[in-house]
Amino acid sequence: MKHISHLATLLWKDLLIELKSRETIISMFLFSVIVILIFNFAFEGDTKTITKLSPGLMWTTFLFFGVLGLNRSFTLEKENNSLQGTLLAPVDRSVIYLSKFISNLIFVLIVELVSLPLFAIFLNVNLFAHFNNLWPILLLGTIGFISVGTLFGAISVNTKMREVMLPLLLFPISTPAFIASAKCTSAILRDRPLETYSNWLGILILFDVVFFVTSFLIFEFVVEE
Amino acid sequence: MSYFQVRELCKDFGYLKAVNNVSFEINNSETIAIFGGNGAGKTTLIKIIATLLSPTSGSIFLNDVEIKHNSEEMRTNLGLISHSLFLYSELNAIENLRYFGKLYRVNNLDERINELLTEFGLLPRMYDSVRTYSRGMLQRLSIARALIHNPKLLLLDEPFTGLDRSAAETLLRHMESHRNSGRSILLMTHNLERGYNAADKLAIMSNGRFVWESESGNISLDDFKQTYTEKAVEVIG
Repeated sequence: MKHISHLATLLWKDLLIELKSRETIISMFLFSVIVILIFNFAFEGDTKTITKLSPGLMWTTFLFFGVLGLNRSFTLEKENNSLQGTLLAPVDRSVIYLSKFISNLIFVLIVELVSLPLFAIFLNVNLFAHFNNLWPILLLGTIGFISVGTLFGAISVNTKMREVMLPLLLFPISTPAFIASAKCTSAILRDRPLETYSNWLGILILFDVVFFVTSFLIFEFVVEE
Repeated sequence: MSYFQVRELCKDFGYLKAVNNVSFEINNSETIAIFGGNGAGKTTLIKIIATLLSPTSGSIFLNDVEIKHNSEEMRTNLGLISHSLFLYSELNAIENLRYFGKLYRVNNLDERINELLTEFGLLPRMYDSVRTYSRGMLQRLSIARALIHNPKLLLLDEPFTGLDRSAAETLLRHMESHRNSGRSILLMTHNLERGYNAADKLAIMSNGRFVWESESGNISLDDFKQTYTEKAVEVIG
Protein backbone atom coordinates (compact mmCIF):
# COMPACT_ATOMS: atom_id res chain seq x y z
CA MET A 1 0.00 0.00 0.00
CA LYS A 2 2.86 2.35 0.93
CA HIS A 3 4.60 1.63 -2.38
CA ILE A 4 1.44 2.28 -4.36
CA SER A 5 0.91 5.59 -2.59
CA HIS A 6 4.54 6.57 -3.28
CA LEU A 7 4.24 5.49 -6.92
CA ALA A 8 1.08 7.60 -7.33
CA THR A 9 2.81 10.64 -5.77
CA LEU A 10 5.91 10.28 -7.96
CA LEU A 11 3.78 9.91 -11.09
CA TRP A 12 1.59 12.86 -10.09
CA LYS A 13 4.73 15.02 -9.83
CA ASP A 14 6.08 13.98 -13.26
CA LEU A 15 2.72 14.41 -15.00
CA LEU A 16 2.07 17.77 -13.29
CA ILE A 17 5.48 19.10 -14.35
CA GLU A 18 4.85 17.98 -17.94
CA LEU A 19 1.33 19.46 -17.88
CA LYS A 20 2.78 22.79 -16.77
CA SER A 21 5.85 22.92 -19.02
CA ARG A 22 4.79 20.67 -21.96
CA GLU A 23 8.48 20.64 -22.84
CA THR A 24 9.00 16.89 -23.19
CA ILE A 25 6.00 16.02 -25.35
CA ILE A 26 6.23 19.10 -27.58
CA SER A 27 9.96 18.73 -28.23
CA MET A 28 9.56 15.02 -29.01
CA PHE A 29 6.63 15.69 -31.33
CA LEU A 30 8.39 18.50 -33.21
CA PHE A 31 11.43 16.27 -33.65
CA SER A 32 9.26 13.48 -35.04
CA VAL A 33 7.52 15.86 -37.50
CA ILE A 34 10.88 17.12 -38.77
CA VAL A 35 12.26 13.60 -39.23
CA ILE A 36 9.12 12.40 -41.04
CA LEU A 37 9.25 15.41 -43.37
CA ILE A 38 12.93 14.77 -44.11
CA PHE A 39 12.20 11.11 -44.91
CA ASN A 40 9.29 12.20 -47.10
CA PHE A 41 11.46 14.51 -49.18
CA ALA A 42 14.35 12.05 -49.27
CA PHE A 43 12.22 9.21 -50.71
CA GLU A 44 9.87 11.35 -52.76
CA GLY A 45 7.90 9.29 -55.24
CA ASP A 46 9.68 6.04 -54.52
CA THR A 47 6.69 4.21 -53.01
CA LYS A 48 8.29 0.79 -53.20
CA THR A 49 11.35 1.85 -51.22
CA ILE A 50 9.24 3.75 -48.67
CA THR A 51 6.99 0.71 -48.03
CA LYS A 52 10.05 -1.47 -47.59
CA LEU A 53 11.85 0.93 -45.28
CA SER A 54 8.91 2.37 -43.35
CA PRO A 55 9.13 0.03 -40.30
CA GLY A 56 12.82 0.87 -39.85
CA LEU A 57 12.21 4.58 -40.41
CA MET A 58 9.37 4.52 -37.92
CA TRP A 59 11.37 2.81 -35.17
CA THR A 60 14.43 4.98 -35.81
CA THR A 61 12.24 8.05 -35.32
CA PHE A 62 10.72 6.60 -32.13
CA LEU A 63 14.13 5.77 -30.72
CA PHE A 64 15.52 9.23 -31.51
CA PHE A 65 12.69 11.22 -30.01
CA GLY A 66 12.56 8.76 -27.11
CA VAL A 67 16.14 9.77 -26.28
CA LEU A 68 15.05 13.42 -26.19
CA GLY A 69 12.32 12.55 -23.69
CA LEU A 70 14.58 10.39 -21.54
CA ASN A 71 17.25 13.09 -21.39
CA ARG A 72 14.68 15.70 -20.40
CA SER A 73 13.23 13.40 -17.76
CA PHE A 74 16.46 13.26 -15.78
CA THR A 75 17.77 16.76 -16.58
CA LEU A 76 14.70 18.00 -14.76
CA GLU A 77 15.69 15.94 -11.73
CA LYS A 78 19.24 17.30 -11.83
CA GLU A 79 18.11 20.92 -11.49
CA ASN A 80 18.29 21.93 -7.79
CA ASN A 81 19.37 18.32 -7.08
CA SER A 82 15.68 17.49 -6.75
CA LEU A 83 16.28 13.78 -7.36
CA GLN A 84 18.38 13.75 -4.18
CA GLY A 85 15.43 15.33 -2.37
CA THR A 86 13.31 12.38 -3.49
CA LEU A 87 16.07 9.94 -2.54
CA LEU A 88 16.13 11.45 0.96
CA ALA A 89 12.48 10.46 1.45
CA PRO A 90 11.58 6.98 2.72
CA VAL A 91 10.78 5.72 -0.74
CA ASP A 92 12.01 2.43 -2.15
CA ARG A 93 14.47 3.23 -4.98
CA SER A 94 12.79 0.65 -7.22
CA VAL A 95 9.50 2.57 -6.89
CA ILE A 96 11.33 5.68 -8.14
CA TYR A 97 12.54 3.66 -11.15
CA LEU A 98 9.04 2.34 -11.77
CA SER A 99 7.53 5.84 -11.68
CA LYS A 100 10.14 7.22 -14.07
CA PHE A 101 9.65 4.23 -16.36
CA ILE A 102 5.86 4.69 -16.42
CA SER A 103 5.97 8.46 -16.97
CA ASN A 104 8.56 8.12 -19.76
CA LEU A 105 6.50 5.34 -21.32
CA ILE A 106 3.34 7.48 -21.23
CA PHE A 107 5.07 10.49 -22.84
CA VAL A 108 6.73 8.44 -25.58
CA LEU A 109 3.56 6.44 -26.35
CA ILE A 110 1.54 9.66 -26.64
CA VAL A 111 4.00 11.07 -29.18
CA GLU A 112 4.13 7.73 -31.06
CA LEU A 113 0.34 7.68 -31.34
CA VAL A 114 0.23 11.30 -32.51
CA SER A 115 3.03 10.62 -35.02
CA LEU A 116 1.37 7.59 -36.58
CA PRO A 117 -1.07 9.59 -38.75
CA LEU A 118 1.89 11.63 -40.03
CA PHE A 119 3.73 8.44 -40.96
CA ALA A 120 0.58 7.21 -42.71
CA ILE A 121 0.18 10.46 -44.67
CA PHE A 122 3.75 11.34 -45.54
CA LEU A 123 5.20 7.87 -46.02
CA ASN A 124 2.01 6.57 -47.61
CA VAL A 125 1.80 3.54 -45.31
CA ASN A 126 -1.59 2.16 -44.32
CA LEU A 127 -0.90 1.85 -40.60
CA PHE A 128 -4.48 2.09 -39.43
CA ALA A 129 -5.70 -0.96 -41.33
CA HIS A 130 -3.16 -2.95 -39.31
CA PHE A 131 -3.52 -1.09 -36.05
CA ASN A 132 -5.05 -4.05 -34.16
CA ASN A 133 -1.89 -6.08 -34.73
CA LEU A 134 0.44 -3.12 -34.62
CA TRP A 135 -0.35 -1.63 -31.21
CA PRO A 136 1.04 -4.57 -29.15
CA ILE A 137 4.34 -4.23 -31.07
CA LEU A 138 4.39 -0.48 -30.46
CA LEU A 139 3.83 -1.11 -26.77
CA LEU A 140 6.40 -3.92 -26.44
CA GLY A 141 9.07 -2.12 -28.49
CA THR A 142 8.60 1.07 -26.51
CA ILE A 143 8.68 -0.79 -23.19
CA GLY A 144 11.98 -2.33 -24.33
CA PHE A 145 13.92 0.83 -24.99
CA ILE A 146 12.26 2.86 -22.22
CA SER A 147 13.11 0.27 -19.56
CA VAL A 148 16.81 0.40 -20.49
CA GLY A 149 16.67 4.12 -21.30
CA THR A 150 15.29 5.01 -17.87
CA LEU A 151 18.21 3.24 -16.21
CA PHE A 152 20.78 4.78 -18.55
CA GLY A 153 19.14 8.20 -18.18
CA ALA A 154 19.82 7.99 -14.43
CA ILE A 155 23.44 6.99 -15.12
CA SER A 156 24.17 9.57 -17.80
CA VAL A 157 22.60 12.52 -15.96
CA ASN A 158 25.57 12.53 -13.59
CA THR A 159 28.12 12.61 -16.40
CA LYS A 160 29.49 15.75 -18.03
CA MET A 161 28.35 14.86 -21.56
CA ARG A 162 24.91 13.56 -20.59
CA GLU A 163 23.20 14.39 -23.93
CA VAL A 164 25.81 12.33 -25.78
CA MET A 165 26.22 9.64 -23.14
CA LEU A 166 22.59 8.45 -23.14
CA PRO A 167 22.41 7.52 -26.85
CA LEU A 168 25.90 6.02 -26.65
CA LEU A 169 24.74 3.70 -23.89
CA LEU A 170 21.18 3.14 -25.06
CA PHE A 171 21.48 2.49 -28.80
CA PRO A 172 23.79 -0.55 -28.71
CA ILE A 173 21.92 -2.24 -25.87
CA SER A 174 18.45 -1.62 -27.29
CA THR A 175 19.40 -2.82 -30.79
CA PRO A 176 17.80 -6.30 -30.35
CA ALA A 177 14.50 -4.71 -29.27
CA PHE A 178 14.74 -2.20 -32.09
CA ILE A 179 15.40 -4.86 -34.77
CA ALA A 180 12.71 -7.18 -33.41
CA SER A 181 10.17 -4.33 -33.36
CA ALA A 182 11.01 -3.31 -36.93
CA LYS A 183 10.81 -6.95 -38.16
CA CYS A 184 7.42 -7.49 -36.46
CA THR A 185 6.10 -4.18 -37.82
CA SER A 186 7.31 -5.06 -41.30
CA ALA A 187 5.59 -8.46 -41.20
CA ILE A 188 2.33 -6.91 -39.96
CA LEU A 189 2.33 -4.22 -42.66
CA ARG A 190 2.80 -6.94 -45.28
CA ASP A 191 -0.15 -8.91 -43.89
CA ARG A 192 2.06 -11.85 -42.92
CA PRO A 193 0.61 -14.31 -40.37
CA LEU A 194 1.82 -14.31 -36.76
CA GLU A 195 3.86 -17.52 -37.30
CA THR A 196 6.21 -15.69 -39.65
CA TYR A 197 7.29 -13.17 -37.03
CA SER A 198 6.64 -15.08 -33.79
CA ASN A 199 10.41 -15.59 -33.27
CA TRP A 200 11.00 -11.84 -33.40
CA LEU A 201 8.04 -11.30 -31.11
CA GLY A 202 9.56 -13.81 -28.68
CA ILE A 203 12.88 -11.94 -28.74
CA LEU A 204 11.07 -8.68 -28.09
CA ILE A 205 9.13 -10.07 -25.11
CA LEU A 206 12.27 -11.68 -23.70
CA PHE A 207 14.21 -8.42 -24.08
CA ASP A 208 11.45 -6.51 -22.26
CA VAL A 209 11.29 -8.94 -19.36
CA VAL A 210 15.07 -9.28 -18.91
CA PHE A 211 15.88 -5.59 -19.17
CA PHE A 212 12.90 -4.35 -17.19
CA VAL A 213 13.63 -6.70 -14.28
CA THR A 214 17.40 -6.00 -14.39
CA SER A 215 16.91 -2.22 -14.53
CA PHE A 216 14.31 -2.37 -11.74
CA LEU A 217 16.74 -4.29 -9.53
CA ILE A 218 19.91 -2.29 -10.15
CA PHE A 219 18.43 1.23 -10.20
CA GLU A 220 19.09 1.52 -6.46
CA PHE A 221 22.86 1.20 -7.03
CA VAL A 222 22.84 3.56 -9.99
CA VAL A 223 21.28 6.49 -8.13
CA GLU A 224 23.68 6.26 -5.24
CA GLU A 225 26.45 8.83 -5.67
CA MET B 1 22.26 4.62 24.99
CA SER B 2 22.41 7.56 22.56
CA TYR B 3 19.64 8.21 20.10
CA PHE B 4 22.06 8.39 17.18
CA GLN B 5 25.54 6.88 16.90
CA VAL B 6 28.25 6.94 14.27
CA ARG B 7 30.98 4.32 14.77
CA GLU B 8 34.35 4.28 13.02
CA LEU B 9 32.92 5.60 9.78
CA CYS B 10 35.19 5.68 6.73
CA LYS B 11 34.58 6.69 3.13
CA ASP B 12 37.28 6.32 0.50
CA PHE B 13 37.19 7.72 -3.02
CA GLY B 14 40.07 5.81 -4.54
CA TYR B 15 43.18 6.86 -2.63
CA LEU B 16 41.37 9.79 -0.97
CA LYS B 17 40.03 9.20 2.53
CA ALA B 18 37.12 11.66 2.53
CA VAL B 19 35.91 10.43 5.93
CA ASN B 20 38.49 8.72 8.10
CA ASN B 21 37.44 6.78 11.21
CA VAL B 22 34.82 9.22 12.49
CA SER B 23 32.82 8.32 15.61
CA PHE B 24 30.37 10.42 17.58
CA GLU B 25 26.94 10.23 19.15
CA ILE B 26 23.97 12.52 19.56
CA ASN B 27 21.48 12.27 22.40
CA ASN B 28 17.92 13.52 22.36
CA SER B 29 17.59 17.32 22.67
CA GLU B 30 21.23 17.71 21.69
CA THR B 31 22.91 19.77 18.98
CA ILE B 32 26.35 18.88 17.72
CA ALA B 33 28.20 21.30 15.44
CA ILE B 34 30.97 20.04 13.21
CA PHE B 35 33.31 22.71 11.86
CA GLY B 36 35.83 22.45 9.10
CA GLY B 37 37.17 24.17 6.03
CA ASN B 38 36.47 23.28 2.41
CA GLY B 39 37.31 19.66 1.66
CA ALA B 40 37.34 18.64 5.33
CA GLY B 41 34.78 15.89 4.62
CA LYS B 42 31.70 17.47 6.23
CA THR B 43 29.39 17.11 3.23
CA THR B 44 30.53 13.52 2.57
CA LEU B 45 29.80 12.68 6.20
CA ILE B 46 26.35 14.23 6.05
CA LYS B 47 25.57 12.40 2.79
CA ILE B 48 26.49 9.08 4.38
CA ILE B 49 24.27 9.83 7.38
CA ALA B 50 21.44 10.87 5.01
CA THR B 51 21.82 7.47 3.24
CA LEU B 52 22.75 9.15 -0.05
CA LEU B 53 26.20 7.52 0.06
CA SER B 54 27.32 4.15 1.40
CA PRO B 55 30.27 4.17 3.77
CA THR B 56 33.38 2.15 2.92
CA SER B 57 33.34 0.84 6.49
CA GLY B 58 31.85 1.66 9.86
CA SER B 59 28.27 1.82 10.98
CA ILE B 60 25.48 4.19 11.91
CA PHE B 61 22.86 3.38 14.51
CA LEU B 62 19.51 5.02 15.06
CA ASN B 63 17.79 3.95 18.27
CA ASP B 64 20.19 1.01 18.43
CA VAL B 65 19.26 -0.25 14.96
CA GLU B 66 21.97 -0.18 12.31
CA ILE B 67 20.66 1.91 9.43
CA LYS B 68 22.03 -0.27 6.65
CA HIS B 69 19.39 -2.78 7.74
CA ASN B 70 16.65 -0.16 7.72
CA SER B 71 17.60 2.88 5.68
CA GLU B 72 13.96 3.80 5.00
CA GLU B 73 13.36 4.10 8.75
CA MET B 74 16.41 6.36 8.96
CA ARG B 75 15.12 8.56 6.14
CA THR B 76 11.72 8.84 7.82
CA ASN B 77 13.44 10.28 10.88
CA LEU B 78 15.76 12.78 9.30
CA GLY B 79 15.48 16.08 7.48
CA LEU B 80 18.34 17.59 5.50
CA ILE B 81 18.88 21.28 4.90
CA SER B 82 21.80 21.89 2.58
CA HIS B 83 23.03 24.37 -0.01
CA SER B 84 21.26 22.19 -2.59
CA LEU B 85 17.59 23.14 -2.68
CA PHE B 86 15.98 19.77 -3.57
CA LEU B 87 13.00 21.62 -5.13
CA TYR B 88 11.22 21.31 -8.47
CA SER B 89 11.38 24.65 -10.31
CA GLU B 90 8.28 24.00 -12.43
CA LEU B 91 6.08 23.47 -9.36
CA ASN B 92 4.86 26.12 -6.94
CA ALA B 93 5.54 26.14 -3.19
CA ILE B 94 2.38 24.23 -2.26
CA GLU B 95 2.96 21.57 -4.93
CA ASN B 96 6.56 21.08 -3.83
CA LEU B 97 5.59 20.72 -0.18
CA ARG B 98 2.63 18.48 -1.03
CA TYR B 99 4.91 16.23 -3.09
CA PHE B 100 7.47 15.78 -0.32
CA GLY B 101 4.78 15.62 2.38
CA LYS B 102 3.08 12.75 0.55
CA LEU B 103 6.38 10.89 0.18
CA TYR B 104 6.85 11.18 3.97
CA ARG B 105 3.14 10.30 4.44
CA VAL B 106 2.52 13.35 6.65
CA ASN B 107 -0.83 13.45 8.44
CA ASN B 108 -2.95 16.62 8.10
CA LEU B 109 -0.69 17.66 5.23
CA ASP B 110 -2.64 20.76 4.14
CA GLU B 111 -2.54 22.11 7.68
CA ARG B 112 1.19 21.45 7.96
CA ILE B 113 1.88 23.11 4.59
CA ASN B 114 -0.08 26.18 5.63
CA GLU B 115 1.77 26.33 8.95
CA LEU B 116 5.20 26.19 7.29
CA LEU B 117 4.36 28.66 4.51
CA THR B 118 3.12 31.12 7.12
CA GLU B 119 6.18 30.63 9.32
CA PHE B 120 8.63 31.13 6.47
CA GLY B 121 6.73 34.08 4.96
CA LEU B 122 5.92 32.36 1.69
CA LEU B 123 2.13 32.52 1.87
CA PRO B 124 1.78 35.52 -0.53
CA ARG B 125 3.79 33.70 -3.25
CA MET B 126 2.56 30.14 -2.62
CA TYR B 127 0.93 29.76 -6.05
CA ASP B 128 3.91 31.13 -8.00
CA SER B 129 6.30 28.81 -9.75
CA VAL B 130 9.42 28.27 -7.64
CA ARG B 131 11.45 29.32 -10.72
CA THR B 132 10.40 32.95 -10.04
CA TYR B 133 11.62 32.96 -6.41
CA SER B 134 14.64 34.87 -5.12
CA ARG B 135 17.57 32.92 -3.64
CA GLY B 136 16.41 33.75 -0.11
CA MET B 137 12.86 32.55 -0.80
CA LEU B 138 14.17 29.34 -2.33
CA GLN B 139 16.29 28.72 0.77
CA ARG B 140 13.27 29.32 3.03
CA LEU B 141 11.13 26.92 0.99
CA SER B 142 13.93 24.38 1.06
CA ILE B 143 13.98 24.60 4.87
CA ALA B 144 10.18 24.17 4.95
CA ARG B 145 10.60 21.09 2.74
CA ALA B 146 13.10 19.56 5.16
CA LEU B 147 10.78 20.22 8.12
CA ILE B 148 7.55 19.03 6.49
CA HIS B 149 7.60 15.69 8.37
CA ASN B 150 8.89 17.02 11.70
CA PRO B 151 12.11 14.98 11.54
CA LYS B 152 13.62 13.67 14.77
CA LEU B 153 17.15 14.34 13.55
CA LEU B 154 17.80 17.51 11.60
CA LEU B 155 20.93 17.56 9.43
CA LEU B 156 22.12 21.03 8.50
CA ASP B 157 24.89 21.45 5.94
CA GLU B 158 25.94 25.12 5.79
CA PRO B 159 22.30 26.14 6.35
CA PHE B 160 22.95 29.88 6.70
CA THR B 161 24.49 30.25 3.23
CA GLY B 162 22.26 32.52 1.11
CA LEU B 163 19.79 33.20 3.92
CA ASP B 164 18.73 36.76 4.63
CA ARG B 165 18.76 37.95 8.24
CA SER B 166 15.09 37.26 8.97
CA ALA B 167 15.21 33.78 7.41
CA ALA B 168 18.36 32.99 9.40
CA GLU B 169 16.56 34.07 12.57
CA THR B 170 13.54 31.92 11.68
CA LEU B 171 15.87 28.96 11.15
CA LEU B 172 17.62 29.55 14.49
CA ARG B 173 14.21 29.77 16.20
CA HIS B 174 13.25 26.51 14.55
CA MET B 175 16.47 24.86 15.67
CA GLU B 176 15.78 26.01 19.22
CA SER B 177 12.21 24.67 19.27
CA HIS B 178 13.39 21.48 17.55
CA ARG B 179 15.87 20.88 20.35
CA ASN B 180 13.40 21.87 23.07
CA SER B 181 10.93 19.30 21.79
CA GLY B 182 13.45 16.52 22.48
CA ARG B 183 14.85 16.17 18.98
CA SER B 184 18.44 16.35 17.81
CA ILE B 185 20.46 18.44 15.37
CA LEU B 186 23.68 17.81 13.49
CA LEU B 187 25.07 21.06 12.12
CA MET B 188 27.95 21.30 9.65
CA THR B 189 29.28 24.80 9.23
CA HIS B 190 32.30 27.04 8.98
CA ASN B 191 30.42 29.88 10.63
CA LEU B 192 32.15 29.60 14.03
CA GLU B 193 29.99 32.04 15.97
CA ARG B 194 26.59 30.72 14.88
CA GLY B 195 27.68 27.11 15.26
CA TYR B 196 29.19 27.72 18.71
CA ASN B 197 26.05 29.50 19.95
CA ALA B 198 23.70 26.81 18.64
CA ALA B 199 25.55 23.67 19.76
CA ASP B 200 25.97 21.60 22.91
CA LYS B 201 28.95 19.72 21.49
CA LEU B 202 31.62 21.01 19.11
CA ALA B 203 33.94 19.11 16.80
CA ILE B 204 36.54 20.21 14.27
CA MET B 205 37.01 18.11 11.17
CA SER B 206 40.10 18.20 9.00
CA ASN B 207 41.18 15.86 6.19
CA GLY B 208 38.24 13.57 6.95
CA ARG B 209 39.04 13.15 10.67
CA PHE B 210 37.75 14.64 13.89
CA VAL B 211 40.83 16.49 15.16
CA TRP B 212 39.21 18.10 18.19
CA GLU B 213 36.00 17.65 20.24
CA SER B 214 34.54 19.39 23.28
CA GLU B 215 31.33 20.31 25.08
CA SER B 216 30.53 23.93 24.19
CA GLY B 217 30.25 24.80 27.90
CA ASN B 218 33.90 23.87 28.43
CA ILE B 219 35.37 26.50 26.12
CA SER B 220 34.79 30.20 25.46
CA LEU B 221 34.05 31.44 21.94
CA ASP B 222 37.40 33.23 21.72
CA ASP B 223 39.31 30.13 22.79
CA PHE B 224 37.31 28.05 20.36
CA LYS B 225 38.17 30.43 17.51
CA GLN B 226 41.82 30.13 18.46
CA THR B 227 41.59 26.33 18.57
CA TYR B 228 39.86 26.26 15.20
CA THR B 229 42.63 28.32 13.62
CA GLU B 230 45.19 25.88 14.95
CA LYS B 231 43.37 22.65 14.16
CA ALA B 232 41.48 23.18 10.90
CA VAL B 233 43.62 22.75 7.84
CA GLU B 234 42.15 24.30 4.73
CA VAL B 235 42.32 21.97 1.75
CA ILE B 236 42.35 23.87 -1.50
CA GLY B 237 41.13 21.83 -4.45
